[in-house]
Amino acid sequence: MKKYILIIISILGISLGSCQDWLDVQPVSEVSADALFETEEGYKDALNGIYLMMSEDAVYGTNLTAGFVDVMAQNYLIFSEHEYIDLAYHNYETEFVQGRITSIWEKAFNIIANCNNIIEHFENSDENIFSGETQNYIYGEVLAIRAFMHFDMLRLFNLPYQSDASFKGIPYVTEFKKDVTEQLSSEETIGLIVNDLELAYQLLNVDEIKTEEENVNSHRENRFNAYAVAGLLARVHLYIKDFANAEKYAMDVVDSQRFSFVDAAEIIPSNDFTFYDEHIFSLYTIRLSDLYFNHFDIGDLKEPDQLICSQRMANWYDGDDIRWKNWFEQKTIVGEEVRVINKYKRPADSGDDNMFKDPAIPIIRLPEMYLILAEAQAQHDLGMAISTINTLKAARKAALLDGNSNLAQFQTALTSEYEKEFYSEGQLFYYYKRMNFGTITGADGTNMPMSDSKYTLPLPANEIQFGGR
Amino acid sequence: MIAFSLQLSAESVGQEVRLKTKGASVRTVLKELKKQTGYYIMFNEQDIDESAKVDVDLQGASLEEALNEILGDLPLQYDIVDDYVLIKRKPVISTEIQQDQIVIKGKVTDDKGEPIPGVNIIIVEYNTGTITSADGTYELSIPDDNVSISFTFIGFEKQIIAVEGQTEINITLQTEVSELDDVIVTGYYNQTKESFTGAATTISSEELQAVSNTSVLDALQVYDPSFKIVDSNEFGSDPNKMPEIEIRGKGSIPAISENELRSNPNQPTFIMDGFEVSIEKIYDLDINRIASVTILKDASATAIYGSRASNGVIVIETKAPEKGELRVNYTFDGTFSAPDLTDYNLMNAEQKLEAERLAGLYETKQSLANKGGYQDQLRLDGLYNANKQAISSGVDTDWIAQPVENSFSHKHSLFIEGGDNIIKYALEANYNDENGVMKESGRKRYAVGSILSYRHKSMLFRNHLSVTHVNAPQTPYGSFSEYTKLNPYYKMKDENGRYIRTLSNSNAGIPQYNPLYDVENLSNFQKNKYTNVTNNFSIDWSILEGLRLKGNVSVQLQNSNDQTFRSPDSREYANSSGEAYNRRGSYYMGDSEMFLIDGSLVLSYFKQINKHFVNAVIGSNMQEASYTQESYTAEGFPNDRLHYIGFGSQFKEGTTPNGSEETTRLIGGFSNLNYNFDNRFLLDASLRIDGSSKFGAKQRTAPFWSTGLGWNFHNEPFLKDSKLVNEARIRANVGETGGTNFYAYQALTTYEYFTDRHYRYQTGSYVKALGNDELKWQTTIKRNVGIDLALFNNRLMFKGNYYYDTTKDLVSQVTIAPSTGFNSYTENMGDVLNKGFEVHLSTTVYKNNSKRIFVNLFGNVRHNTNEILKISDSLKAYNESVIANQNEEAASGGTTDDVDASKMISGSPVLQFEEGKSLYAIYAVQSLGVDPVTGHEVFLDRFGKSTMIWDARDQVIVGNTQPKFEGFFGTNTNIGDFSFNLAFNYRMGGQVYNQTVINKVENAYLQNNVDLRVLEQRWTQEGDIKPYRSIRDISLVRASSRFVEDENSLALTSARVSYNLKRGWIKTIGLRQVRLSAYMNDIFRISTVERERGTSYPFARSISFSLQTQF
Repeated sequence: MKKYILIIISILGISLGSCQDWLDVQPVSEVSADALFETEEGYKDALNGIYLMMSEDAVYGTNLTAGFVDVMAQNYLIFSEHEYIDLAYHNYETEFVQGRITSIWEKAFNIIANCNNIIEHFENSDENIFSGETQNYIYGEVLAIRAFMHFDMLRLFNLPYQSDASFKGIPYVTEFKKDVTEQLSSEETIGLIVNDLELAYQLLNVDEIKTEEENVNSHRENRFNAYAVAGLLARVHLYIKDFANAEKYAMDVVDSQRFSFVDAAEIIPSNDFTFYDEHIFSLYTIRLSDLYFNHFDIGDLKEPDQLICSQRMANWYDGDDIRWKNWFEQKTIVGEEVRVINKYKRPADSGDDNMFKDPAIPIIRLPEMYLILAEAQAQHDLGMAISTINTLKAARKAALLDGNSNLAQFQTALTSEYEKEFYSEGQLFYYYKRMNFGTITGADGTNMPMSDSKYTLPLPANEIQFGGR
Repeated sequence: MIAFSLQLSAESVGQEVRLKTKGASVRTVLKELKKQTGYYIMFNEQDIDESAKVDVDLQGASLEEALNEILGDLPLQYDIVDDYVLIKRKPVISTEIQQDQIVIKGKVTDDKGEPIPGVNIIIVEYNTGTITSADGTYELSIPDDNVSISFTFIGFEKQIIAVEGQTEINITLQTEVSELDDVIVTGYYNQTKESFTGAATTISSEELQAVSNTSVLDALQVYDPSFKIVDSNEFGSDPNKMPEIEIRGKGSIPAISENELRSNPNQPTFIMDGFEVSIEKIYDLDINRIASVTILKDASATAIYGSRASNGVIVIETKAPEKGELRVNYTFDGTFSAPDLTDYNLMNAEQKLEAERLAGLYETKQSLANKGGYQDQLRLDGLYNANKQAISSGVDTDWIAQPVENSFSHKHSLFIEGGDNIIKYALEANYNDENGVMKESGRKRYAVGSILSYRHKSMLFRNHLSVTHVNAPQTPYGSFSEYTKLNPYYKMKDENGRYIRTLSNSNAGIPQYNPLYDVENLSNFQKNKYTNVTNNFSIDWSILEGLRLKGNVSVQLQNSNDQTFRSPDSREYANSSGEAYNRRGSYYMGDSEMFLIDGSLVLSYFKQINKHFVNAVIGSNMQEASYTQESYTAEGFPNDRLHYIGFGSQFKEGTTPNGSEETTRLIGGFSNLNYNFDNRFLLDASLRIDGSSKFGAKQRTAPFWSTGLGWNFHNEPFLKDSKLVNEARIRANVGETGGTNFYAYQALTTYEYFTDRHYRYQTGSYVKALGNDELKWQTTIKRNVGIDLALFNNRLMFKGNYYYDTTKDLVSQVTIAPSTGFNSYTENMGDVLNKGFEVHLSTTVYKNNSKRIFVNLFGNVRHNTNEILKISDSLKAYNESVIANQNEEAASGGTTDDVDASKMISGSPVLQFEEGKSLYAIYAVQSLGVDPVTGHEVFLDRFGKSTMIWDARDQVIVGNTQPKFEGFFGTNTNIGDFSFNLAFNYRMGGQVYNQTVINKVENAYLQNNVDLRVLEQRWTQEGDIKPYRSIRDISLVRASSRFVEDENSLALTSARVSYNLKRGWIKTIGLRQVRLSAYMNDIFRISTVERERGTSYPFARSISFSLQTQF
């Protein structure tokens, strides 16, 4: 009988024993993070997901490119019933604007959290699951995206760097956790951004985009490639007036010869309105047509969400400027002639998609590198700066800047190029803010006084409340 | 079979017997003798022929004389021992007895070695026997030695011994523990009530059937006030709506955000024959199959269920087959139900038109000065006259009578059982065709099953297979509320007797559709069905004396299917044109599958050493449940007749196929120790360790425990022989239990894939939710003290419990700073307290055993107080957002004319969370009534001033929906073969928020029919002092104390008369037993609150008949 008791006790013991594995249930309709990161494919999927999220309306699908920030930069004609009417006058307290601010913030930090989760899993993962240089690619891209997202949040939510570099604004979130990360000064945040980017630049040293072997089908320009990191480093250094580094990184990109100015003759035949060959980094999105149809494909009535070009741009471009010729459509709305951006134009029927260049939202383009280069060169050699800016102008068939121009004239030309080049790409507001202009030209052509508070978005209410900000 | 008449006469033992009978049966005479002398007279029914008659005439005879006289020539003798008279056969010396007859002798004793007189000893095969004499000895002749003899005595376990050549059989009878009143069934093991320190209520099958012949859950609440079915005012008596149940109050915070809660977090755990089952399974279970139900409420009873025990555990045992020759039990139940529409106080045609006139519906809103206004007024005048004319021609349609009907439901239950000591078998079959009071709604249940048990030496194998199929069509008439809105001056049918499609254009110009037209002409339907297959297998092995091992495995598979068809000709598509025309009609198809496997192993050991009793149990169980569901909706049906999903032309616009999956695993080990000294001092202790896949990796397992003490002071020497105190026990216990009614994967960080886009033809995934590795079990500390008393010869029974349960670490969604990347996070937060008492009292006010009359009264009361002890910051933020939302909505105005008015929060109170306050609190602004001058409502603001402006910040607690006291009382009366049962439900104290007043009086949308109070009690002119505001006020009312009413109610839950036929003529037609019962359920109800009950589905009153037979 004792034998039986022993059997019983051992059965009980086994059934009570370590059952941790058995209790680890993996869902089918979703994948647990631990299971996803067991394979290289999982890492790739998670990274693709990040690019997909970046192309959502809340961030680069609309708000941080053609929409929200360009409204702040006065690029659109905003009539009184328009949903952006308060934003256009830099009034950030209304419910609608607050809602947009919240959605930008939430999505940006959600993307950052997605980056952090990948980064944290790198630490625990088995390196053998990766083939070739995949790990460097993914790690480099994720780090760069994290820095990129933080940099744009800093440009929106921190005071102008010129005014106060010690302003404590956004947190720099590097951990995937529920706890709040402390706010840092702009200076500290920039430091962390640069650290991440420099590490990413090292990791992406293997990037095929830097080699002759680059496969066209890899479409590295749609990913945060090595040149995108360099371009972003140039952008960041310029923001804090570290001209030497800005010049160095901008030169890395320009010198590579990987990117070239668009051929004016090819724009119409290939419907290449975003100047695809100039994309250092752009987000591929099958939803680009939504952006076009929702905001730019306007009928003859005033709709509260349509984006019509502001009156102030009427005299910006020279007659032959390829940007003027290719980016604007003339339309009639309530009997008035207006211009509308057609940079994101897509065919009405997806069957004609092949007649257009790939749908991609430009995030960093070659002209910006020339402008950064020119601005940096102007600090030590105005002549070189003028010749650099004229390279861009020539490519655009715009009137060149006189070689004997003084610094002020150069600055005016620089501002003008930013205004003309980045229409509906979201960069102009950051330029104004970086320059800390006291006055800009309003959408209606009149002077619009600016201030630190107008240049700075308030933190969303839920961030203040639940983050103890 | 054997009948004992155990009676304790209250009078002193009489020495003188006076008896005079002529032609009376011996049995009757003996009963009379018993009554006069106060002696227990015991005999074996077979020994005294029922037809035996005797004439006696005794005046002042002694007991012995009387017995001699009565028994006379009968072949009987008697013994008088103490208070007992034992009558048995004279030893027969007869030639009829075969030569080889064997005589067996022996002695029957109890477990203390004391002899038991009067034990029935029967030769099983021949159904003859004897009884033991005063010293417990017996002598029995048997025809051969292949027989078995059984020993039975009330209060002891029956024993059957195979003779196998023995001539002396001494038996020790064990005190019976299987008797329901004396045992607590916990699902894993049984424990004697004498030694139990917890609070539990056991209800026998007889008791259940004294209340209802169909609904187990309804019957349970009569016996235990802490078991509460939460009233559903919306769904009334809808047979397809699962009831919501709470035991001892709410222990969870309701979902405040879109929390993925599949089940009600306050629902108790149901255990049937040792395995966890869904409430649906119990709801569809045939009440005739139930042997007993035990409600376990406190920690000592529930700790063995660990993480599933927070909300209490309901243990259901089904009937096991009994051995014997084949017996067929058949039960027929028929129920007539009638809709109870007395709570509806709608206007008739004339009243309605008058109310419309007073409300200014026939006065144009434009200026009469201009042409448009003038024409509009002409149109309105025309409309008024048309309606007036219709009324005078006699139109007064009773719309609410249309979708309802008196229904008849019938149920057939068959149970066939039999077997011997080795094999016992049973077959069960059940068909229950329940029809609701809304036309064509119902629930058809089909169930078949088999039970097989096989004993091999010390092992008992048992297998129970059951298959249930339920078909639940919903009424095609739609929601009942739709009919309450239709104006009585609309005609239902045209001259040709056909339903009119568009009733009439109301003065708002919106077409009113006749829902009856759709029902009559279209094939819209909504139906659900499921099939459940359950197989339970168990092995029970008595290893050594007192040592038992039980193993169980249960497998359950359930497939459900839901289908809803909306015909392309339905009214919602009336205006479809162009592209939309091709998308008319829709068909929803949903399938789900549940697979559950559950196993347990329990080792129990019982040992008695002198006065020490030890019962130790150790066990474990494992459970895996997986649940998948898929659904899709098709649209674009060519015509009404093609109501099959295959005729759909596409997925419903904007929808895709849907699916979800959930797997949960649970493993637990438990032990229980019960020690009792001399049946006086009791100690109970349980420990369980549970692991669940639902919780964070770092918190996967959790211990649960309980401990209790008790004292049976009726067993103390000073009370032992008291006739005043028969049972007296005080007990107390404390323990910790948990709850796991949550979405399975909330503790995990999971990724989901983008299905609607790709990144350059590559898939992308994103983090769905931020997991919480630290997510802890929600635990409840339960404390209970109780007392059980039985007094005055068991005439008065009292049971009282006081409890104090605190739930800690409530699992809920917490809002977090979005810079973390997420808006919410599942975390433990907040503590809730439920405390209260429950008292049960029952008394036998009259008892006459000889006439089989007893009158028993019972009553119980329950009181529960709920309090939020602690809440997290995010719940505080939730309160603020609620107030902001309410104010925003109030500011945006809105009128009762809005099409979307019904979607607004408007007058309903919104739940708020405040420390120190109850989860049942009603929050609203204090009202000062309706201003007689303006007809507007006046409020009291938070600064104590009166104001006409409603502000959500002025809200205070204006009531509590939990009653102060509630419970049941009634009677169980038996007169001969008849029994009468009544159960009343009462509720005192506590408030309700009268939604009827809001929807049908104050926010009344006068284009529809509304409550008569609109006409009678709304302000119409200056100086009116009326409880309700101006009839012309169409702004939406806001949560106000004016709608809070005290609710006191009394209802007759059930009444039953039953007649039991055990003998007589029925035997001649081959029946063993027949019972006829008639029930009335929910027959009357009075309440201080006047409101519409059963808004989507009316309540029903029912009368039913039940016929139980055994043959």
